[in-house]
Amino acid sequence: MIADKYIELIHREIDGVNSPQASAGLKAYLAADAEAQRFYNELIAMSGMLKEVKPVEPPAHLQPMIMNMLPPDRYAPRPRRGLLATMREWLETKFNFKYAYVFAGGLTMGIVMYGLLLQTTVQPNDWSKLSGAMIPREEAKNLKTITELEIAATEVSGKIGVKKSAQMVESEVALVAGQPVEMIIGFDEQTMRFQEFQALNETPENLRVTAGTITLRHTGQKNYAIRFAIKSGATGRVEFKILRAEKPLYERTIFITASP
Amino acid sequence: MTAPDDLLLIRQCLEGRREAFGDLIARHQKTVFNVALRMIKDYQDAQDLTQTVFIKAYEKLDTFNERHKFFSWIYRMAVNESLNFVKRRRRFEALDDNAEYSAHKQSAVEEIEESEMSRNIQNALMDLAIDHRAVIVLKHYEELSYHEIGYILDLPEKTVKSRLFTARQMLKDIMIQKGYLKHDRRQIH
Repeated sequence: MIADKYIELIHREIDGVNSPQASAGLKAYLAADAEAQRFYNELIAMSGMLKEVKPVEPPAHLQPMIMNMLPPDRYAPRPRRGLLATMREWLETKFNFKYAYVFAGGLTMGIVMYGLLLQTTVQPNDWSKLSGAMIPREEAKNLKTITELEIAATEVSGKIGVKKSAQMVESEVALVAGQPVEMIIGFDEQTMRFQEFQALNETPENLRVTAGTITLRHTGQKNYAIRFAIKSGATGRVEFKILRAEKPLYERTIFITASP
Repeated sequence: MTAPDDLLLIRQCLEGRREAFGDLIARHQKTVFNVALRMIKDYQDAQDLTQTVFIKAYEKLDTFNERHKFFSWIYRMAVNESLNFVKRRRRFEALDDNAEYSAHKQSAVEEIEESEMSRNIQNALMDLAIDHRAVIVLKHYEELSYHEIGYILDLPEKTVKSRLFTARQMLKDIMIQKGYLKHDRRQIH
């Protein structure tokens, strides 16, 4: 006599729904019970025979025959629907949402990667990291000092050194100011083109470069280098202004002729 | 839930595109036909029954619940039609002692080109009660889960299992009795 529990397990085994543990338990039981083993073998043999039975092809005329017998006006054609309704149907029936999950996952990864990369790229206002980016090294070697200006106003002091070569003008500015001041460097756009700003020790506050003007806010003691390209043989104008609360503290204009 | 392609065809059909139903027939007729054939054994009757099932499905298509699978729905109709057919035939045979009907059916069976083993299994199946035959057909030929069989036969899963286990044992005994399946004596001491 086979216990009901094992009869059920045998059937479940044939249907392939037993857990691995249940299968193992059943195998152990079958090994110890000859009657159960025989019962199991017979059912397995029968199940195998049923599996061997091939489905029969329906006759080829069956489908057209059924189509001919369908009531003709059961579902009347509806007017054409708009794009939105068609898209909605497509989303409901055809669209596979796993692609949306993959896309969303990819997008998230992209945003994270972009964020990580952004941390290592040069920030637009981080001018201190721009040195040597645009000026050829050879040209920098040819620079010669043409003037050195002393700044000795009541609230600001320092030096402005101006160098030039055949194609380049460089101004080195060293400023000391106890209170915030604004420095404006104007240049002649007809003959000169701004190329590079370099903060030699600290990044300036509020650096703005517009057409023909470089503006920065300065406090404390800082050094800057500003470089321009100049047309060979042309004369360019550079104007230095230092303001405090819109009141001029220092103002000087120099003209530079690029020597070939 | 219904497979997207079936659902699309159903919607197109409800919008008046009859050809979409032709695609549904093409996709499912083999299954419906084989369920009918295994349930009632007769090739010609299986064709008629398949035809009836699809025509009824077409007429009731606007009541189809999209949460179900279309094939489960059509199986359900096929099995129910088969059960009704067998009951009707039983009444008909009881009323008519004339052997003409049975003779005609016998010749129809010959139209199916099947192996001897398939014919033997079919003969054994026909000795089972129709309810037991249905679970064997759905489980062993159509390889449906207990849950799907439960939906098709409108039975709780527990009942499906107990009915299937009983039917399987009965079929085994019939097959042994008819000599289609060997009695396993290897393990008997």
